[in-house]
Amino acid sequence: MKRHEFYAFVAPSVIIMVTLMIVPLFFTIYLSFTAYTYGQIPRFMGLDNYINALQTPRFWNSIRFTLLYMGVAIPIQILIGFIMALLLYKVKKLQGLMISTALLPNVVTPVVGTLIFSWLFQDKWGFYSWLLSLVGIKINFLASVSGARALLILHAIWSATPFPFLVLYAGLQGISREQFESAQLDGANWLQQVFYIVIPNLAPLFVFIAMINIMDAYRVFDPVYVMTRGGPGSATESIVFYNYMVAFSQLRLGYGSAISILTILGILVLLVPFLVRTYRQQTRG
Amino acid sequence: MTTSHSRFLIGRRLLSVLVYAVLLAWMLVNVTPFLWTVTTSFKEVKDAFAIPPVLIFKPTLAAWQALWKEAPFGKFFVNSVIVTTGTVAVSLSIGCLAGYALARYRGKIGFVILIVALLFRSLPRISFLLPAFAFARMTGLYDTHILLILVYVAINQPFTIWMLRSFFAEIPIEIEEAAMVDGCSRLEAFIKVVMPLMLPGVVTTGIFSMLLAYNEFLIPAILAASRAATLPVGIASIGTEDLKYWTITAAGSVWIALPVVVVVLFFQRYIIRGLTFGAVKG
Repeated sequence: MKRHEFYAFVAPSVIIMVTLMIVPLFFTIYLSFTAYTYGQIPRFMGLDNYINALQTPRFWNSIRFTLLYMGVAIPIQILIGFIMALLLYKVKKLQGLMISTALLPNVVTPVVGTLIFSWLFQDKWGFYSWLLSLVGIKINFLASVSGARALLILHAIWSATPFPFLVLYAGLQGISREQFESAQLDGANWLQQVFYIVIPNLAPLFVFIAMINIMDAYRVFDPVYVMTRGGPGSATESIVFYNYMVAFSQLRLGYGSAISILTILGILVLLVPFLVRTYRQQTRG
Repeated sequence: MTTSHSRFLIGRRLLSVLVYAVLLAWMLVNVTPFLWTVTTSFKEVKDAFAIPPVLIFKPTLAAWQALWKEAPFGKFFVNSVIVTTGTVAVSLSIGCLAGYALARYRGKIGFVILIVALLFRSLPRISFLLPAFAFARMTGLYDTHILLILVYVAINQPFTIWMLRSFFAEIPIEIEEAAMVDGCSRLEAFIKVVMPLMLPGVVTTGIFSMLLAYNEFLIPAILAASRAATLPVGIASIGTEDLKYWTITAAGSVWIALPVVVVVLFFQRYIIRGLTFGAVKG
């Protein structure tokens, strides 16, 4: 393909990405150094917004909650997803049904998924709350700090476990049968096969899943907004939810922009191990 | 010998029963919220709040009728249809052009475009939304379909061009070269010869554009809070106010989930391909 043809073909796509993502991002960086409310002229403030953010307990609180949310939910999502993929790989039936039903919580409109999941945990008349009460456990999930946090994490496990399950199940199909057969001839039991064949073979997929789940959980917003509105108090405010409140409830767009930039720096830090790994692989290959 | 063999068989059977039990239990966890919501949408309010929950009840369409009467649900639905259709159409047209060029051109700039797009895929959306909000207010685009479509298309381009590029790369270059030897221009060869082979790629990418535009909540909540508000914004606004609306919200949830469920059932293969896309490429 000739150069001028290339430019003509990519132009619409590149123009829309530049005008609606790259330019706005630079504008966000600019606004983060100003005091700005919609309708006024931005007033330059230097690093004040950043200093202000770093001194605000509610900001740190949102970071702590987001890290807790990720730290608890993601390992469980990957573990359950992996176990279910291994089990489904072992059996001969159910494949189509398991995959369809697993897709539902994962691709359904997140606001709807959150609503229908949280109803089951409503105090007293929620179906799961009622089941729990039968065995003597009575938790008002939305009223207590730990209950609200637990509910958000349970929702994350429900909605995002299917992703590792589907990816790892697809990955299992790609491992050659001979590897398992020769291991069985050597007398390896199932657990040994999992550790010496499956896990090494699927290692790149685990990395991929962890990266995607980290990116998605880091920007969690819909479940927080729908289920808890960040409450009780600000106990379940995620970073993006806090950012939203500051920018669009209080209309402090300058301060909100600074939070956005800090959020971007945060995800870059979290992704460093993955970038380093990719770079090492590139240079080794 | 025979006893130990039969004991082994019993053990195996027990184990496989256990495996099925675990899988089915997880399946129940996955679908229970959906089933519960469907039944709730056909309950009367008093049945919906019954303790212990009732499984057998006299079904009623009251919530479904109220959904279309009370809430401006029809408006949210029309908005969702317009915005989703627009996003898929624009996203695929400009995405196919770019994806094709990126698959065929060997220059360095193509690589740069792909990497920058990938980086932007990982950033939280709220970081572009602040200026978009200010910009939309200033230009009068705030709360319009066209604004939502443009923003969705932009946000979805990185995934779209990566995905389509990988599908184009699988189509042998000889096919279009032959057409160009026969006198077609590059664009004619692209439209008449290459695109007809791209159906699986277009379907897969189209489904993900559709899901993004249809499911997104944060962006319309910020950029289109009333006139152009889509279904997720609508359901969130009636969903949390008053518990007596619960059956109505349940009906709304079923309605919103229905198209997604249909897509899942009919296009499962394509969705799996899209979800596992990054993984397969390493």
